[in-house]
Amino acid sequence: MDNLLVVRNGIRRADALEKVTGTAKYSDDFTLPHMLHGKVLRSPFPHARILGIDTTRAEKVSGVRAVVTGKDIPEGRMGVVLDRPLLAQSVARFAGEAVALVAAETVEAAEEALELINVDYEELPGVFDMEEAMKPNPDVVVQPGHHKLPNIAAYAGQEIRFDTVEERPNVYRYFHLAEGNIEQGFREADVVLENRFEATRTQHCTLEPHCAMARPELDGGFTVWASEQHPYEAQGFLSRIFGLSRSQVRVITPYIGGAFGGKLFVMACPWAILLAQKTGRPVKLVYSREEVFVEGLTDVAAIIYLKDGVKKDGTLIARQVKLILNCGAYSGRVLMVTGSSCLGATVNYRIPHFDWNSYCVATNEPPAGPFRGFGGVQVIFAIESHMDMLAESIGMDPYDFRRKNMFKLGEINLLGQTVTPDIEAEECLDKVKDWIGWDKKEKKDDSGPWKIGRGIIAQGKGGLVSAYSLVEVKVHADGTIEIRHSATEGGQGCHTVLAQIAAEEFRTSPEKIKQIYSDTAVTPYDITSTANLTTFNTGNSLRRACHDAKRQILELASERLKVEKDNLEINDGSIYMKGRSEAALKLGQLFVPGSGGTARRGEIIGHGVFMGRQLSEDEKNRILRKFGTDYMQCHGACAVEVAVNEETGEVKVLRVAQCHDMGTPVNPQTCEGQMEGGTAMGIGRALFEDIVIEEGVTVNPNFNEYKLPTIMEVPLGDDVSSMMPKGEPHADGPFGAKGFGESTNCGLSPAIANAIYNAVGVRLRELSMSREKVLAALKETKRWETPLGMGSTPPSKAPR
Amino acid sequence: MKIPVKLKVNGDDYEVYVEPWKTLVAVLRDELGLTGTKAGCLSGDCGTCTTIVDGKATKSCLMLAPQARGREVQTVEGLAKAGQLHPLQQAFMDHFAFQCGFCTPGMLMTAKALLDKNPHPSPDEVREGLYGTLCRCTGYVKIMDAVLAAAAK
Repeated sequence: MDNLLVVRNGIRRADALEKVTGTAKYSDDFTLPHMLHGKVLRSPFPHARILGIDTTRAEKVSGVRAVVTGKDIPEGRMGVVLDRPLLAQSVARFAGEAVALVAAETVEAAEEALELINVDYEELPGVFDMEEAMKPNPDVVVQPGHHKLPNIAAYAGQEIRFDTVEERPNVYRYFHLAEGNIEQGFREADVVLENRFEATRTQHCTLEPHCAMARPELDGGFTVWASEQHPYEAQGFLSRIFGLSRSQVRVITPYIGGAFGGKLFVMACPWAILLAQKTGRPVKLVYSREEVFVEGLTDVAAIIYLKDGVKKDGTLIARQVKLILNCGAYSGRVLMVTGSSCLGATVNYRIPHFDWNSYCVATNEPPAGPFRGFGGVQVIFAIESHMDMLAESIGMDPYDFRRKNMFKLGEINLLGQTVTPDIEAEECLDKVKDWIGWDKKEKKDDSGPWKIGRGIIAQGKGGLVSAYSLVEVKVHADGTIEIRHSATEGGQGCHTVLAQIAAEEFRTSPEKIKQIYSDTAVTPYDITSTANLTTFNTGNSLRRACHDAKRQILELASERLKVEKDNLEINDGSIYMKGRSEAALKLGQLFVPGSGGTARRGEIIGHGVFMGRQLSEDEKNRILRKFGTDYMQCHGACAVEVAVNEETGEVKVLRVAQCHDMGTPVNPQTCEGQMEGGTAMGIGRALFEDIVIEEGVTVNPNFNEYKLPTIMEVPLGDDVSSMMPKGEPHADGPFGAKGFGESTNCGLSPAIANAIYNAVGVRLRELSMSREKVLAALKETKRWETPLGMGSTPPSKAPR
Repeated sequence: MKIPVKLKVNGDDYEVYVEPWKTLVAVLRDELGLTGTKAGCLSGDCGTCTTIVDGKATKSCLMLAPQARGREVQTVEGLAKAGQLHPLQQAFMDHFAFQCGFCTPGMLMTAKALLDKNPHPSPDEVREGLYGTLCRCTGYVKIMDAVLAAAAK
């Protein structure tokens, strides 16, 4: 392990040259001959009966080749549990739901046709408040009969357990996890705090809009190029939607312009395919930016009721969480978020009495989906804000309070997992605490309206482990190593990491590594590139493929040289006797000249199979019984320094430190990039990103009114620190690496909330903490005098 | 009803026939096949369509094709000359100043326009110069490092 050539170095990214020259291709950069353009007509009403659709005028527009409505595909369904019609049938359930499709020679002709489609709507009352929607016998039922849908296994092979509450027809899923006795816990506590937290929706805002280009094939199947994170999952969804076998569905995912969980739902694909089937021609369908905001899935709006009990000595004794998620009109992956969101509350702190209840609730709003953190943003905001409030209630320093309650090596967390050495939560917290200068009591100039404050948090989350990944490695006569895999490069750097791993295995330079990726006709199965998954799962599968290929080579070399296989090794395109400095054979000498294949074994292709970490029987009993699936634990910490303007409510983030464990990283630079990117995304969510939906209609679906962080809003240079702890190797990770990168955005909201409180004594419980909210809170605080209680926290000391 | 539009792109003369309401980004991508320039929002907010027109950083989704008549347009495809990368391209590679790469062409052109006018900007001047081009992946940290490094050359 110490004699590493390539891994652990921040080598240049494999996609670098393509991306800086503009030659990297994204889905919309491809065209096909005789291609049509597709557009979608969407319901303007959040809940309406569709009495009729008249397409005659639209069909007459010059250049229009097809108009498709719900009646053309009455049985067509999509979504994780197939509850969502491909096109609205007799009712539209959210503003933005697809009602009709047009394919035309030009985008303009398609858009003109959309205007001429006449839909006769009868508006119905809608439900938009998730707490209203989840009541028994609600006035509006979003999807009658939803609880009768068959369970369908999805996402990492984990069956969605429908613990739905039948008399609450808008609750799509209910998840419960408990430990100990929660009422006893509250009795034993010296202080019990109860608070309500809320988070609006945000949007991934990948700069590349969703896009799909579909070509019909003669066997009744199709090929689709799409901006999706998961070629094989997409293949599965699409073959199910269209009633085809997987071998008839070819999915190609080129580079994608950002994902963050927003490209996991085959958006755009089914409609491009429908139009391609109808016209017999290739069809490209690109979402407008407005469509991305409305229907490209947003993060989930959430309400969190948190009740915690703590003892005077700082022991966290009881935690009760009620999490309500607004999944919109159709259940997508929010079904999984309902369960997985508990990770943010169960892997970090020792709590003997724990009670978790989460609800996936339907409303007549656009469907929500998975977003970086997978519920972590919302849950960690509530929990880490509360940790500071609890600490204050017993007069303890927030850092000390967290340190006291964090799990230590060898302990078992609330999911039944053992804390292993690669979990470096304590070191992460210590590093950010030192960097931000937590113990320093500098005298700051408090004369003006700007008040400085510091906040610190610790977070834990999970990455998928029990996943299935296949990789092939082909060795060429000239020493080129060709990796065939389906890990999608959305910016996180997985192609680079895989190239490094292969280069390390063959002791060669990364320039000798070629990649063929993400084409279901050519590359083998990978589940998806998300959830801290790829380095661990695909990386391990790749190593096994490399070992298989090397074994084949050494067996051939052993026969040729009449030397035991164990006395040979491969290094940079040649085979050596161990201990000798001169090569015994060049790789090419094993091949039939000009053929790419060897005489005895044909091509040298190594196969790798990885099915996740092998659990012991004891672990299976603990983990699977409690939670149903294993997760890799990913921990980190964040510390921020902010300046709050008492007169305007403006918050500036001055300095940010993040530190996350990642085993021993394969490429440190790409890891830094994940932390830096997460910082910006987290700042946006904390302070100014909100999807505003009024009576079911998204009112700010553009970059002008939905504020993304620009280069002005983030600290840079020496004001940012993206650190790694010592780097204890993960026992099962490739070269000791473990999953990382997803939740680097989750810590900012609570850290900033804690820092704001530290600066000006106001506690904000709603995201985003916009200027208006900060100012309103400041105005209220000046008159505040009541003791601690529901939703209230007075300033306990003058700001620093 | 299409009209002729003559323009120079990366030093080469082109004549295209397009509807007068087509934008420069559509001309570049659809007519000329130069797909390096991206279309992230088509409303002038994200900056992924940024090119340099007659020396000025321009959001090409906001320029109509007739407005581009007779002008000199630089796109990302023209940055490297005779196989030599532009110092900004080299710096972006060396400093890992991109992740998904979708904003990269626009970011490079915005940065080039800045450095062409102000070869040694301060960090604040870099912020001012790049303010109109969004990046969702990197958090801008390594982009700032790369631009300052390229300026130092």
